[in-house]
This record gives sequence, C-alpha cells and structure tokens, in this order.
Amino acid sequence: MDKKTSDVVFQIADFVENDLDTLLEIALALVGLIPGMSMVAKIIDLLVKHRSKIMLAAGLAKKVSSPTTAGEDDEFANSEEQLCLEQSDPKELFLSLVEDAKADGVVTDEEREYLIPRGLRAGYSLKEIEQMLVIK
Amino acid sequence: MGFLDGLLDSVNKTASDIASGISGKQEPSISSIFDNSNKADSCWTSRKPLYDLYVSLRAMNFNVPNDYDSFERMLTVGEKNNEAAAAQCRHKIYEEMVTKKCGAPNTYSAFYSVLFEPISKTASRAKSHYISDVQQSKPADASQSNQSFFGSLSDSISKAVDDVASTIGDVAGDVAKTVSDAASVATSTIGQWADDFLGLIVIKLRELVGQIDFNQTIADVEKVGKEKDIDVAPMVKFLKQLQDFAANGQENK
Repeated sequence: MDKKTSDVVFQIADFVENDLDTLLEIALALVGLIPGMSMVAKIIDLLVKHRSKIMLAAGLAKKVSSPTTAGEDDEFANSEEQLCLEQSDPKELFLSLVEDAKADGVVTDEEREYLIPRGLRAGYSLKEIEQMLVIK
Repeated sequence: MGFLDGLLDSVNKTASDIASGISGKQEPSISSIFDNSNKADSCWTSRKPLYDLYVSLRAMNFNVPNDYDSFERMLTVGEKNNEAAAAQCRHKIYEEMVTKKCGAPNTYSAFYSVLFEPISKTASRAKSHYISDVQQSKPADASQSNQSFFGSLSDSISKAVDDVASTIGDVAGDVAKTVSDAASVATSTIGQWADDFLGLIVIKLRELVGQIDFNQTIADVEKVGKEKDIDVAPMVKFLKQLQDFAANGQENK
C-alpha cells in the first residue's frame, strides 16, 4: 500500500473514530439553517451505516501498511462484527460491494467503473454485473 | 445425472408447476421458513429449518435426494467431503429459489443465517432449530444495517484479522502473492475485499465532499452555533477533516 492510499485509509478511520452519533445530532440540528449541512449529514449517515465495515477494513489495511504494529491497533477490528466466512467466497464479497454501492439508491458511473473489473475478477460476467448494478 | 443437474432441471419447471405442487399440502411454505416473526413457540424451535426446506422442496418436485440426511450432507460437508462443493450447492439452491420466486429471502446472507451456521473457515452445519426474533435481537445501534453482510460467527473474525495481518504482513501488502493454499486464499480474499471496500467508500465520500463549500459551511456552522448556543466544535473539527480529505482528493486526481 502506497503512502497516499494509507493516508486516505487513516483519514477514513479518523472519521469513523469521531463520535458519529453526536455529529449526526448536530448536523440534524443544523439542517435547514445551513445550506451545506444536508450534504454533511449524508456523509455522516454514510459513515454510520458502514461504520463497522470501515473499522474492519481500515484495521486490515492499517496492519498491511504497518505490519510491525500488528496487535497494537486491534480497536479497529471490532469483535462485535464477525465476518461470515461464507463471504470469503470472492463472489460473495463482490456482492457485498454491490450492496454497499446501491445502498444510497444510486450507482454512479464512477462506482460502476470501479466495480466492473472487480466483478470480472471475482468470476462474474459483464452481463451479470450489469444486472446486479441495476437498482430495482 | 448429478444432483445439481437434476436440481437445475427441476427448477426449470414453470412457476405455476411449482405453485401447483405446493397447493393444498401440509408442508411448511418456504416463505414461512424464513419469516422470523413467529418462531418463538416450541413447534418452530424444535425443528431444523433445513429439514423444513427439504420437505418443501420435495413437495415442489425439486430433484432433491431421497432422504433428508443425504440432502443435509450435500449442503454441509459436500459430496466426498468437499466443502466448497457444499457451498456451491447452497448458492445454487438459493439462486434458483430466487429465480423461481419460491419465497426465498432477499439476500443469501439471510438464507444462510436461517438454515446454517459456520463451524470453521470453510465448513457449515445445519442449524438445529429456528431462532426467533427475540433470540436474535440485539441492542439497536447504527451498525445493525451491516448485519445482513456480517454474519454471526462468534469466534472467527479476530482470528481472521490476525491471519490476514500475518499473511499480508509477510509480503508487505502484496496480497496476491501469498495465495498458496486454501487458507491463504480465504484470508487474502478478505484483504482484497478490505481494499476494494475502502476504495468504494473513498469514491462515495469524494462524490459527496465535492458538493460542499467548506469555508462557507464552517463559517455558517460557527455562526449558527453561537446564535443557537449549540456546541459545534466537534462538527467544525469534522468539517476541517473532510476539507483536508477533499483537498487530498484533488491532489490525487
């Protein structure tokens, strides 16, 4: 993992380490009073929804970037969230990415471009991936 | 004809054939197996959900083995103890149930969690009884939305994380090269998922932060905070973090 990528991962982890519930309350109190606040609330909501997965993924990524510190940052690996090992199947893991992408009701072109090669790598055909990305 | 072929053959029957197959029968409907709302009584908790599914599939003329034990074995330990084949069978049954609108749950994870439970990294067993909503419920928190993805393996993830760390750490992040056996395939797959998932979150965050005028928003938040006597310091700090994130995103483009 290069430094820029790891910096981004650490930033995202920092967001999650914030007291998101408090932030969400403040954002909701300010929505309507401040024009940009609804977008901020969306960001916080996104982080809240994916909090446990972000912590797990960032924990893994952090250990990758700093293997010598493995064991010192177990706070990222939230033991409350246990990865179902059925999901170790690359296809299942890709399906979870698709679910995450669709969670906000929109799959943007950028998300589509990001997901398609990963779906192909997981063993899905392009047609199958396109069908998965359709929001019904 | 193998089981999977037979299964595919049977599910190619029309939906009406399937519907007529279950009409008027006493077997539990498939949707009732996955409906968690009324599983608290002993009549539900004393049976294997997988058994009910087997009975229902037979009633619908799916080509399943002639006895339940063979059916369970096929979906748990697999033919010739091939657990990967068992997983493939589970997926195939779920996908075909969805295709034929037989009352399967919306996600494979929900299907799996009602019928099976993991016993190791690769093996599963049939659940011995239904788990009611009451038994399943946890204190509400925001992370519950992820429960459809994250299952309920009580003892696996800490080990999985450590395994990933050691496996990946050995090669300084070059995960793919560590794939030499089934165990490392599993852990590197999780590592790859972590990378892919974070990438997706970055895309989503950048899309959202790109729509915010941070200087104006921070000024507005501080002003309104003073006026309304709201402690906005955590929000200001968060907005500044997001602003840095947005700035880094511009640099990286």
